[in-house]
Amino acid sequence: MAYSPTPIHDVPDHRAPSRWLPLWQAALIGLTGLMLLIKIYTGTLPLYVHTRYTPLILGTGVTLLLLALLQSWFTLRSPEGVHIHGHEHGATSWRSVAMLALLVPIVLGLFVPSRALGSAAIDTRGFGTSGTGIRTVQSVAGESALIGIPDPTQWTMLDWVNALLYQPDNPRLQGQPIEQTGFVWRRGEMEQSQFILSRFVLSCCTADSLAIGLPVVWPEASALQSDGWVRVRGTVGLANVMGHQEAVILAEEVVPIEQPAEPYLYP
Amino acid sequence: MQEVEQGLVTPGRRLRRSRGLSKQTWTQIFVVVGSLAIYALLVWTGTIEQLLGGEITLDDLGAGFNTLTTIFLGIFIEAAAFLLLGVLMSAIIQVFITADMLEQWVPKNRLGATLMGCMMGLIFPVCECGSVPAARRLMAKGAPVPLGVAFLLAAPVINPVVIASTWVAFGGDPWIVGGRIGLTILIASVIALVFSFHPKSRSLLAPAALQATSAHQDCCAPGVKTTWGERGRAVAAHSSTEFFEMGQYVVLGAFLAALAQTVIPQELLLQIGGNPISSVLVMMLLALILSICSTVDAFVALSFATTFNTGAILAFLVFGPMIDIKAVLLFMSTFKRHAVVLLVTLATLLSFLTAVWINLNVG
Repeated sequence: MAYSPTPIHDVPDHRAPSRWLPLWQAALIGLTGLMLLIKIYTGTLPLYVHTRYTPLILGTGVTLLLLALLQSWFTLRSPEGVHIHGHEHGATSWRSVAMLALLVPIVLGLFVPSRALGSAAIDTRGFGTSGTGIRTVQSVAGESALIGIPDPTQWTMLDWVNALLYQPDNPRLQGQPIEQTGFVWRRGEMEQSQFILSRFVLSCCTADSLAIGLPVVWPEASALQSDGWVRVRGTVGLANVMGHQEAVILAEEVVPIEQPAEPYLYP
Repeated sequence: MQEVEQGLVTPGRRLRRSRGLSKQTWTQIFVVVGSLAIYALLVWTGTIEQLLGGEITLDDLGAGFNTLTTIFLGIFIEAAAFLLLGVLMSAIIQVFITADMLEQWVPKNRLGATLMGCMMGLIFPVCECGSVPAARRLMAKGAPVPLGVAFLLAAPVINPVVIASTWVAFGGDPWIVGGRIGLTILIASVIALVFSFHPKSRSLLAPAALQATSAHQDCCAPGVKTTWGERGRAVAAHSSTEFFEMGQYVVLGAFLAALAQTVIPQELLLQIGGNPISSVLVMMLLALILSICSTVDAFVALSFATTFNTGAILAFLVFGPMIDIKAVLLFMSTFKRHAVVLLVTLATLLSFLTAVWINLNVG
């Protein structure tokens, strides 16, 4: 288990064995930075963190790459043992798990296909319409925020969920035309003709995400693939969903679409 | 290994070191293997909900892996950014603040040092990932342990960014904003004072924390000539070593938090939290599991504001930034294990008791 890159007695000169340590550190730090930059370049960063953090992550990636380059340059250039000796009693040694830990995010980030949170995550993360969702953020912040956008056709799904939360049968909203996108989520106990059009709401990163959704009534609902993204056009109505009278979208058209580049909503 | 390890590497020491694995390494291996085993078990059996409902398919497994990966990377990416900020802050402390300056500025008495530690977040705004390297560096430079502990615990809340985001999230609700600041200072101070009464408080620090700087004293101590090139090299070397070293705790913490989020249904927790006591417990548990950065946790807390009472919300806002899975792991880089246990226990008890007291007497 104990791994030492070069046994001491073979190398009388002691800076040789420790030189690989800073280089390995530099490699992993550089790859971490590269992973962040690749996430930004391929446009997959919004699957993990709020878009407002993109500049911060860009800065982080560039700084990590710079650190890695500086570290390797100094290590390779310096023929003396002085600063290498400085690292020797750093807290990391070859036997530490730290040597491999950073490989986990690097491998997951670079080699595992990026996926947005989907149906599976709703099962454990809770669901906005069950009474504890992030949707209350705006309700608490003031209903006026919603009334601030007088035209409901401009509303995001978060606005709709907020607006319908306390008064599903609001006469001002019943019968309104509505067009929303989201992914398909359903539960066993739902009727064949129903599904929930869902989105995740993110404040910071995926750790704080919470699902919200609007039930949809659509005769061919059962033909839709779970987790698939759709655009739903219809009107707001009322229906019995899992035993509750809820505001729903009475769909006139459901079109499968590609997952949007920014799949999450921001409060 | 009570005394500060000096930076000399003699062949003798090296030989002594390479004999077998250190206790810390064993702990790390144990934690990694343990969590991998739990992960394997849980992924194979599905989430708890599915466990109760039966029927797990290969698809569930893949979906569970995707959720875990996405949450893990979300936490890691966010934490890496803030960790790097903390590490750079630590490098600045390293290069520009000398032990003499600390000697001069820091009050001699423990209460003064503690209060100074509580307030330093206003100058060095860091969240919980950044406060660990900064606090560690301050203590390694010779700042008293109570100052370091108070800074470590208070800085993630007592800083302009977090106070502003709490203010915005709760629409200026003075009870929440004031309560968060007040309770954080109270709890951080009490714990810092407890640490200050330890007869040899510096012995509570992990050897690595003290080593982190001893290397540097060789080349940048007063009286030793240093060029800017050497300083730059020192900053680069120390930043990358520190990022690397703390990165392991962030990886492990993010992984455990993501795992907990993938398999523990939050609705279950919320159903339990009805009364003044259990609601506090649930929100603390939630803070521990979610491991959300303190700069945004107010917005998350807000989403529970209608479900939970003031005490529980405050417990989330005060306890969360001090103690969560990744923060506790980061503490291991700074304190010996028994000191981490003491710190976590005290923070948990104090947050719980104050929050319950608020629920019973104020809210």
